[in-house]
Amino acid sequence: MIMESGPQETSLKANFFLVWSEVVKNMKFLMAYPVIFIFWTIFPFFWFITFIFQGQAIVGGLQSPSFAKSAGTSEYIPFIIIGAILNGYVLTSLYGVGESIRREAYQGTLDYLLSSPCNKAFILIGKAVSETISSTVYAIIHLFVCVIFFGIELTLGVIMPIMLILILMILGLYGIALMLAGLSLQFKQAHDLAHTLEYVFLVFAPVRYPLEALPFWAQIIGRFLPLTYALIAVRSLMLLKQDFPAIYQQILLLFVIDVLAIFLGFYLFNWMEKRTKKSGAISQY
Amino acid sequence: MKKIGEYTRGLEEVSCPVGLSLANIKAELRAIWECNIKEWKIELAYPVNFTRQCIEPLIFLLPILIFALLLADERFSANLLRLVGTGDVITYIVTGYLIMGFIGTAVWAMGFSIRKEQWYGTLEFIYVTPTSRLSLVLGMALHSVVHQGIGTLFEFVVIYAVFGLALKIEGILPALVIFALMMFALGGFGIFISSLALIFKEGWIISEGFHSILTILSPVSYPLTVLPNIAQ
Amino acid sequence: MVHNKNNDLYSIQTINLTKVFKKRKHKGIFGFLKKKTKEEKSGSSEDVTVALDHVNSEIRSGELFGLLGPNGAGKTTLVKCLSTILIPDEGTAIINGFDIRKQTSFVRASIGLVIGGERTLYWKLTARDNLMYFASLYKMPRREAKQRVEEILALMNLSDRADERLEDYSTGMRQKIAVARALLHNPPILLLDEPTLGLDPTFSRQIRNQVRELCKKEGRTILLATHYMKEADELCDRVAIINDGKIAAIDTPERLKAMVKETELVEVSCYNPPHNTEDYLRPLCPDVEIITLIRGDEAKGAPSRIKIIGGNAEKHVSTIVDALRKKDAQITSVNISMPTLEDVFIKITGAKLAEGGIT
Repeated sequence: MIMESGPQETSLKANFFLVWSEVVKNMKFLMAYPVIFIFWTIFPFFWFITFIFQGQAIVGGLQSPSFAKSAGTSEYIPFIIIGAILNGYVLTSLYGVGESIRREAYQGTLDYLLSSPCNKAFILIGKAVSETISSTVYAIIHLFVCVIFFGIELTLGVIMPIMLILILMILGLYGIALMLAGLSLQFKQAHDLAHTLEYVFLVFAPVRYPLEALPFWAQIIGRFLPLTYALIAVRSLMLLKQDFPAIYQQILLLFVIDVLAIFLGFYLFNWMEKRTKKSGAISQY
Repeated sequence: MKKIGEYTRGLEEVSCPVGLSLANIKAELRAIWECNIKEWKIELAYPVNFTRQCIEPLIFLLPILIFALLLADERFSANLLRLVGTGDVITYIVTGYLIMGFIGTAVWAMGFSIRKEQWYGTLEFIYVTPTSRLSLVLGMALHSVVHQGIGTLFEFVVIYAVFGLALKIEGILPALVIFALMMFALGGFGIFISSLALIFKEGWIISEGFHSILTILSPVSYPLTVLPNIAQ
Repeated sequence: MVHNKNNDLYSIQTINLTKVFKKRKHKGIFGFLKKKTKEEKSGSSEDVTVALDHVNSEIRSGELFGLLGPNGAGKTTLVKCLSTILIPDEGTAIINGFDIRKQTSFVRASIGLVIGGERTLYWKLTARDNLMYFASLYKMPRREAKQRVEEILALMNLSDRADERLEDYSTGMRQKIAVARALLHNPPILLLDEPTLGLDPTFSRQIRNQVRELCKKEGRTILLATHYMKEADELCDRVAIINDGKIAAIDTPERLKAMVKETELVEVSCYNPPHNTEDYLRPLCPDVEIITLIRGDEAKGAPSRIKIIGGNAEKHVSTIVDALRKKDAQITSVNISMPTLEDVFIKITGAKLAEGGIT
C-alpha cells in the first residue's frame, strides 16, 4: 500500500503543540545552565549601578534640577532603573532568538528543523515565547528588588497599563528579532548583527536619558524604535504620575511600529530562508 | 658534537631548543609574534566584526557622556570639583573610560584567548607543540592590546573632535609610564581569567562578572569616595 | 630510545598508564536541594569512569601499531596521554626516550598528532598560513619552515591551492593538511587517532596509503587508533585490542585471527556438481578439515553448495574450481570467509557488535 504524502493542512492544535515543544526545549536548555539564569538575574543590576554612582558624583544627591529640564523629572535614579529593566527585554530578545537560530546551526540541528514539514514561523514563535518567559521572570525579579531597595513606586493602577505596554513592546521586538534571525541565516555573523542593533537601541532609545537630549537627527532614528515609546509611556505612568489617556499617542505609535516590524520580520526571514536554501549556506557557520 | 638544545636519541634526531638558550628565546618570541599575526589574519577575515569592535568603545561611552551632560550644568559639576579637583565631567569620564578599555581587553580578549582556540578546534594541536603556554597567551594578548589601542585611538579622536578634552601635555608622559606599569598587572590578570574560562564552560559569565565588578569598583566615571566604605 | 631485554628499540612504551574520569550527573536546577544517596556519600566506583586501566605496551621503532577498539574503549584517551594533552593519574609513558611527565617539550618535538574530525585547523586562514603558523610553534627557523611547508604541500598535491582558505577545502583536503601539519617538524613518531573519520573511500584510501608510506619508506613509528577493523588489518604490523581501558591482546593481525576457532571457510555454489563430490575433491586438498556437499533444488533454480572448511582452504580455491569445471559443473559463485579482527574482538572481549562494536 502506498501512503499518500504531500502538503497537509496543519491543525491549530498541532501548531500550538509545536510552539509548546519549542518553549519546553528552550526552557530545559536554560535550566541545564543554571549559571546563565543566575547571571541574567543579577548582572543587570551591575550595569545600571554605575550610572547611579556617576549621578551621585556629579549631582551630590538623589535629584538633579538640570536633569529635570529635559526628562521632566529630577529623579534620575528611577529614570535609569526603568530604562535598564526594559532594556533587559531588548537584550534577551535580540540575542535570544537570533542566537537560538545560530545555535541550531552550530549544533547541526538547523537542517532538520528546516526540512521538517511544520511551519517555521511557529518554531520562531516558540523561541520568542521562551525568551519572553525568561525575560519576564528576570524583569519581575529586578522590579521587585528595585521597589524594595531603590524606592521605585509601583501602584496597582499602573500594573495593567504597563503590562499592555510591555506586550506591545515585545511584539515589536519579535519583529526585529525575526529580521535579525533572517539576516543571520545568510550573513552568519549573528553576534555582530545583534550587537549592532544593541548599539542602536543603546544610543538612540531613551534608555539612560530622554530623547530630547539627542540631536534632532538622532531623535528621528529613536522614534522608529519600539523601546522608545515603551520607555516614554512607562516613565509617564510611574514617574510623572500621568493617566493612561495621556500616553495614548505612545501606545498607538507602538502598535503601528509593531505591525510594521512583524510584517517586515516574517517577510525578511522567509526570503532569507529561501535564499540560503538555494545557496547552500543554510548549515554553514 | 652535541649542540645546546639539540638531543639525539636512537635513530632519529629531535631538535628542540629549551631553557634560556638564545635559540629558544628567539623561537618563543617568534611564536608570540606569529600567534599575534594569526589572530589578526582571522580577525580581518571578519571585517564587519572588526569594524564593530573598533567603534564599540565609543558606542558604550556615548550614553555615559550624554547622561553626565544632562546632570551637570554645561559640562561642569561643582560636586565633582569638590571631590576630585576637576569639574569637567567629560574629561574626567573619558580619561577613566580610555583606561578601563584596557581592563576590558584583559578580561575579555585575553581571558577568552585560550577558549577561542577550543572553539576553533585547534587547542589540542597548539598544546601538543613544544612552545610554552605563556608564549601562546602573550601572543594573543599582543593582538588584543594592539586591537584595543586602535579602538581607543579612534574613540579619543572622535571625543576630542566632538566634545573637546581639557588635557595637559606635560601629564601625558607620566601617564604613559603609569599605563605601562598597569599593563604588566593586566597581563597577569588576563592569564588568570583565561585559565578560569578554560575550566568553566560558560566562561563568558566569569569574564562579564569580573568586568562588571571592576567597572563598579574602579573610579572610571566617578571617584572612589562616592562608593560605600566597604566597596572603597 | 628504550631498549628491552632483547635489545629491541622501543619508540613508545607505556608503564601502568592509568586515567580515571569523574562522571558528572546533572540533577537539574534544584539538584542541590536533593538529599545525597548512600552511594553518592560513599563515593562509590560507579561515580568514575576508568578510561585507561594500567596499560602496559611497547611499540618498536619503525612499527605501524594499531589500537583497535569500539567507541569509548580508551583509544583517544591513550593517544591524548601519549601526546601530553592529558596528564595520566598513574603510570607514565616513554616516547622516543623521553618521559611524558618530565620531558614534555621533547616528547612534543618527537611526535606528530593527527585527530580525525571536522575542525582541527583555522578555517579562516589559508593552508600555507596554517602550516607556517604551526611550524613556528614547532620552533622551526623561518627559512627552514618556508622550505618545509612547500615540500609538504607538494607531497600532499596541494601546492596550487595553498593560498586558499581552508573553509573552501573539502573535508578530505583539510585532513591532508592536518597530516601535513603533523609532518612539518619531521617527527620520528606519529600518533593518529581515527585519521579517516568522516572521509569518503577515495580520501580514506589516500590517507591509508600515505600512512603506509610514512612507516615503511620513511621508517617512522606510527600508532594508529581506529575502530575500522579493515584499516587495522590492512595496515598494521601489530594490533592491540583495547576495551574498557584495558588492552585485551597484542599481536600481529594474523596471529590474532588464528586465536579464533572459526577457520577458513570456502563455499562454492554450482549446478551439476560431480558425482561423489567429496571423494573427488578430497585428494586435491588433503590439508582441509571438511569437504561437504549440500545439494540444492536445481529444478527450482537453487544451486548446490560445496563447503570446504579449515586448513588454508583459500589456497585450494583455484584447484577446486578447475576440478569442478573438468567435471562440467557450472559454478555460480565462490565465497571465501576468513576470521576477521572483529571475530577476534568478540571472542576476546565478549562484546557484541550492537554494544558499540567495531566496524
